Amino acid sequence: MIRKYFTLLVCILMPFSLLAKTETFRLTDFYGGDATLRLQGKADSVDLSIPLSSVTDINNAQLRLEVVSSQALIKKRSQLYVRFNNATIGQISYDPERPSLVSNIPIPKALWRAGFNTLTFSVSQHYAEQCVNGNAPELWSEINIYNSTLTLDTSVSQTAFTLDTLSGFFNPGIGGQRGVALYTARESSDVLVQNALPLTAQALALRNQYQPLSVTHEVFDDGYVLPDVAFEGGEYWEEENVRRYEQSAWYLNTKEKQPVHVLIGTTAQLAPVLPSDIIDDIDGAYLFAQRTPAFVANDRVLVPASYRLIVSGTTDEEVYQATKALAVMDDALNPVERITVLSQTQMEANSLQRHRILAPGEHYTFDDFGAVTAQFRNENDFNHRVSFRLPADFYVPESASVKLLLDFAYGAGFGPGSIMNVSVNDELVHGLALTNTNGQSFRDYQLSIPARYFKGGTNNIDFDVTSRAPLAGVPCDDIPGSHLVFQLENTSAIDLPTAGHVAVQPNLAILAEAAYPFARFKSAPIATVNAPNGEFLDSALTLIAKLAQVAQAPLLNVQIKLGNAPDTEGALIVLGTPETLSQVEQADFNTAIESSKRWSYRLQNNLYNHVRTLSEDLSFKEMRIDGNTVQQSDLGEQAILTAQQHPTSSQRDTLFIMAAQTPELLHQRVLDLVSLSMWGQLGGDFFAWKDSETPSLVMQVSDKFEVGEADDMWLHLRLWLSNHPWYWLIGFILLVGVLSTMMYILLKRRNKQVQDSW
Amino acid sequence: MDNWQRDRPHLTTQFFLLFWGAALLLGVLLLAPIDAIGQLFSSVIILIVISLCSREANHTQKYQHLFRTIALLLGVALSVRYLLWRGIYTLKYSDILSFVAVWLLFIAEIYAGITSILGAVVNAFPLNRPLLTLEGLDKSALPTVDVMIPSYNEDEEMLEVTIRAAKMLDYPKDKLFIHLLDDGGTDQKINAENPVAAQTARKRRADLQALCKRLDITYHTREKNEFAKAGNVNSAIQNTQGELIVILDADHVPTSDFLDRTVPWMLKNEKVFLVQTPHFMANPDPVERNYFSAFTRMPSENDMFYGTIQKGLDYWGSSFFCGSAALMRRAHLDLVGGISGDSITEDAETALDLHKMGYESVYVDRPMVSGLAPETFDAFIQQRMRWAQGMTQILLLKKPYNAKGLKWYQRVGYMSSIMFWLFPFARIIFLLMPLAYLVFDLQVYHASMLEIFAFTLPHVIATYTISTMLFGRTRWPLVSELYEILQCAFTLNALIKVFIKPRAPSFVVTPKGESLDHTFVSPLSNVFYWLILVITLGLIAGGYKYATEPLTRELTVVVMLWNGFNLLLLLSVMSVLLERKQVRTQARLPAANSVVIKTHFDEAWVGDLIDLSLGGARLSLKGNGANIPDDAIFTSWSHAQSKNVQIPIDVLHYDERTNVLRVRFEPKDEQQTNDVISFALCDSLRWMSFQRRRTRAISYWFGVKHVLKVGLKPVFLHVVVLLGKFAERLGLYEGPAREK
Repeated sequence: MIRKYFTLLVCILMPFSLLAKTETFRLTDFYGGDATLRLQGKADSVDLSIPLSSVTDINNAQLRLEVVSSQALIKKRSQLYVRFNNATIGQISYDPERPSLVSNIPIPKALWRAGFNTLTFSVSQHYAEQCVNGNAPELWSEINIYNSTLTLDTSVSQTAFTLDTLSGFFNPGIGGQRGVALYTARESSDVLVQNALPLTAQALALRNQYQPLSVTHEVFDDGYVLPDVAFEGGEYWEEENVRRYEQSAWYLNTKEKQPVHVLIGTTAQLAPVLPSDIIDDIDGAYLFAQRTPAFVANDRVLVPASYRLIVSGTTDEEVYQATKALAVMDDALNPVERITVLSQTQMEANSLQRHRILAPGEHYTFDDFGAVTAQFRNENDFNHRVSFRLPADFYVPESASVKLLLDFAYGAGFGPGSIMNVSVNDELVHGLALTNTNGQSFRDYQLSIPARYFKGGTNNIDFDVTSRAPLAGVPCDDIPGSHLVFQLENTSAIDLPTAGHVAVQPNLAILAEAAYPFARFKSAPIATVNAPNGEFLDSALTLIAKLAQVAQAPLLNVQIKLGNAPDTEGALIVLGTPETLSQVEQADFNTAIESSKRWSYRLQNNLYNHVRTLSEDLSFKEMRIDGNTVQQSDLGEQAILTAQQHPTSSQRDTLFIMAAQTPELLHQRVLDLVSLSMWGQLGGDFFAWKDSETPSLVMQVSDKFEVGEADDMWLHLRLWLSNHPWYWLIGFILLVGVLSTMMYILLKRRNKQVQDSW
Repeated sequence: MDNWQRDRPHLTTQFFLLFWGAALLLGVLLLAPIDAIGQLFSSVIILIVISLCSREANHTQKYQHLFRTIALLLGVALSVRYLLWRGIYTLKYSDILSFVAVWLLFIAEIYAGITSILGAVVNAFPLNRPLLTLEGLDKSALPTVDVMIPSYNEDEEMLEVTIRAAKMLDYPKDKLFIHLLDDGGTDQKINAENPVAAQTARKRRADLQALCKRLDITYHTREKNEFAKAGNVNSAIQNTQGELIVILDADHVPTSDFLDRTVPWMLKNEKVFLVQTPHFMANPDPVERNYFSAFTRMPSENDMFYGTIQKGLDYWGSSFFCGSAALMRRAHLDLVGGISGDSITEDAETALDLHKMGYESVYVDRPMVSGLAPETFDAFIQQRMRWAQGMTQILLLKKPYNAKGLKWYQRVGYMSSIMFWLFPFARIIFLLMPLAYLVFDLQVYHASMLEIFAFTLPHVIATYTISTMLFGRTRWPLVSELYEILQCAFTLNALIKVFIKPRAPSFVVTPKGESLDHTFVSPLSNVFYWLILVITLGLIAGGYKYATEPLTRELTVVVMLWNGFNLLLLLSVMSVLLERKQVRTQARLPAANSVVIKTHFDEAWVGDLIDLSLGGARLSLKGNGANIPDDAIFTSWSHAQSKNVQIPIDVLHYDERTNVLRVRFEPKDEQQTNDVISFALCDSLRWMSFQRRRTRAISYWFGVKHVLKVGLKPVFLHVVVLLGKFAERLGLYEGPAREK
């Protein structure tokens, strides 16, 4: 009896003990700037935001700082204050005798909260007891935030698993899940693989926001084989134990370390792994968040406890409908374990993908796209970034402009050096000196900014405000800047020009920026990720999940197609190894990845290998492919991603080929590719990489072509002519030549007639 | 029927289908959208082709005109593309003020584009007519000719020279009738209420009657001064019978071959109503005189009109009557009731009326009349205002763009000539528009730097290249701008009046033959001082903008360059506004005849003429002329009379170092007076060689350098003269402004 209770207790405690872990993060993971954080002046302060998942408990947190300070700083009066959520957790005195130091600071558990936590480094720096010039160059200290670390001992706090906690498990913060396994029956239908699996991957990845999600696909068998368990008292597998075993997630792959996994399938497919009461409960599109107990025998955990999300239905269509609900639902509205979806409207791929995108030709206030009113107080340098997304194929003529109508104000008592600068995508577009000592308020302060500063995908408008107190006019006497206040209202607005929807392809940068051509604005044609066989499904799912994250919306039009024939219409990613890619006709491509490789080496060609962003689109720069080398070789550790015009699609579209030497290696490289560090470096149309740090080679090797909306021929023409001015020029000169010759004939004829009359 | 129409059926329908098809396609291509970088690339290539073609077009070769046509079409196409781009993509504004500014600038650009395109069409193929002569024709069959010299207030001496030259025209004397049409001695004038004016008119009538009697020509006057010059001529037409009519302004001295070269065109074609010849100006206009004394070095404004444009108009059957130096057919004039008088440019209006009736005009490009240009800037502006107002009247009252009877190309010809005179609107806008940005911060030109390089700059370069190709020999770079700026402020006002009341303007005779006995600043200068002040302020504002608004520096620099260009032109204008002293009443023109100076003792010196005027000559002797007595005989071959003329002279000065001799003609009798006139003014060959000497092309950069060089010095001179004038008023100084 005691043994039974003990086993029960172990089962209850198992989820927590299994999921507790210790992780160390570099502080650069939480900061977008340089690896060295320099704090200058008499007083300076920098905030780092540290996100924390709502299902994670911090058991222990330790901050390790590497600090270097100026030797000119005097002791006692020069200090670094470390604050966490505005509570001071450490004070480090700068010592000119000891300019480099390493400090360990514990962060009290009680200070942590779900969401964003603010780690503040604030300094007070002095080189003398009085009359310190705040701009003196010797007033500095540095924190090496690359070497500085945050070590966290975390565990999952959740005991109940309801649908609203999904956003806690799949969360960009610390403790969020970075991988997920999707379980299906071994014999799954095509609809399930083609649509439901990719959409489930997208649904979970979208909850992870920007943090990549590794998605793997696992299968379970029709039945189970009970493991051997030595039992002194006779047959262990009595009815109660079998029932306990069936209630556990016995089908879990032993490698699986993530707390939440997903079971996907129809009731018939899931019947072997789900208890009959659950199966009986499913009578439509069904979502069920369930915590499964561990199965422990002889003090040994045979099946760990887990959290499983069941996506099911009585038919394939219902399963797909359930995944759609999972993809769009606001978790907070579902503090329940299960829901059955009865119907859905407005679930077209087209409308979903444009949901977070500002439409050209429209007027938006900042509030419309979620920007908040910013208020800056005190004397400091401030930044307020307003981000919004434009269609990836946002295309405007050179002379188009975007109007910013700003509502802002600054209070009285601003001193010399107070300014506001406005930058668009890091291009400075406007500056204003805040010179009125009585303060000023502006409404509809209009800036007309050339639309070429804006690009398809995410755009950032930065408002950099420097607030300076007035000069006291007396030596060694400063006026404190506590009275300074600047406010940028979210009633400020942006007027977008009308734009066409055409993009130059192939361009991996726009894929990375906006998931184009898989996510578009005006239409959502079917796009496919082609996996030669099931071994490539993990890569396909992970990639699709990333595309959804980039588009910030579920892409209902993206499907997975198993098989070797990439003859589908629309944008297409073909995954493969050199052997499987031999099935793809690559004779017309500038590069070919087959059992023998054809490379356009740079020395043979006039290629360029820098990454080009949309705002610096150098698509007109000369690019010539004259030669290549065909060779017999392996790909080694690296993977290759190429893009070119789809050779068989009836509409103009892009064909991507992603290859590595083996399916496993390809999955590893896909994980590297979707990482935060690598994805942003995508560019050109030939991309090779073998880790998650830097690409081995980025090149532009294929000819440019345009993809866009078929109904806007004018824009198509513009882009085509812009990319091929030779055609216009030749046509122009030819026509002028023909017309001139004819006019010359007419003029000569008239001249002759006039002369004949003499 | 017009030749063009008559022979058109020979051209196949397919040819025209192909032509219009290609034109349509070109139109589509011009509309085709393309990004700035692609356009920049294309524009550069097109400019290179234009440059190569225009170079070839200036060489005499078989395909000269083909290259000319290609260059013209490329240039026009580039300009049309620019205007389309401006219209479609750049007309953006944020408020009513910028809306007005944006559209004003665009309208000015459209105007400039249209005039440039019309000019390209008109001048595509200038017609070079052969020189015809009456030699070999039966003299008894020649038509009778009435030479009419309308006069209003010109002095007797001037009229006598013109009458004497007319009498020496190489034409059968029994068929040549000279008429002085005096509008200064009409009944209305001699009965004027003002007794002084009446007395003057009576004296004028008596003097001129005496002159006519002495020179054996007919004196005409009339009852009232109605319809100005047109009324004067029409009155005389009713009282004369000559089949052909020559109209000569009072200062227009014909060369002896005038009728010999013009009448044959009347004989060749019964439909010809007009044979127009160039007006050769024997003295510099104020621009030529004041602008670095450009008269003998730089092609004049007349050279461009008569040397290029009229030939182009002649090709299209639309060369028009220029008021003088023209031969007209009475029968045709009778059909339209004589010279038309609805506008104050009766000449062009008359030609338009007769062209509408299907009659033809001929332009003979040989200077056979020498006249006087207005001497002062004041008179110059008065003349130009009349032309501008008159042409605008024709536009408003006669609507040549829609006139029945005119062929399309004649409409183009007339519209080209008329549209030119609307330049003050555009020029003022181009002058002041930079201020809209620099001073008032209005965004008037919504384009990126790249677009300016891709569209604007190629359009400007192409326009200048085409202009240089068409008018390179007869118009130096930036000189047109200079003339336009000089006139724009005054003619704009005059044009607005015409638009408000098209029939209001009245004919004002241009003062001529004025002498300038001292150097002075033109009284019309004030407006230019203001313009310079305002544009300089614009530059200062631009400098401030550059310093304080770093984000718009690129645009600021571009607009400041534009503003600086305007300032440079205005500074050059200052040189024209400084009216320089001109004591000599007759301008000396270069000459190269061989002469012999003989004494009464049969000693002779041989030499070559350097320059010549009605009053005297300057010549270079082959040997030492120190012993030439004060009075001698000047002997030389007169092409006009085909004989040696012997004219008594007074020696004024001899330079022993250079052997240059200056002499004054001292005719003793009627014959010698005629000899002087015929030798000095009646030789068309001399006018031709003088014109050829100064019509030469210069490079654009030389032109710019030249304007820069010439433009700055006069500013200093203006200051000196004005200060001198001020000091003189105060009685402190008898300054350099009044040279004695």
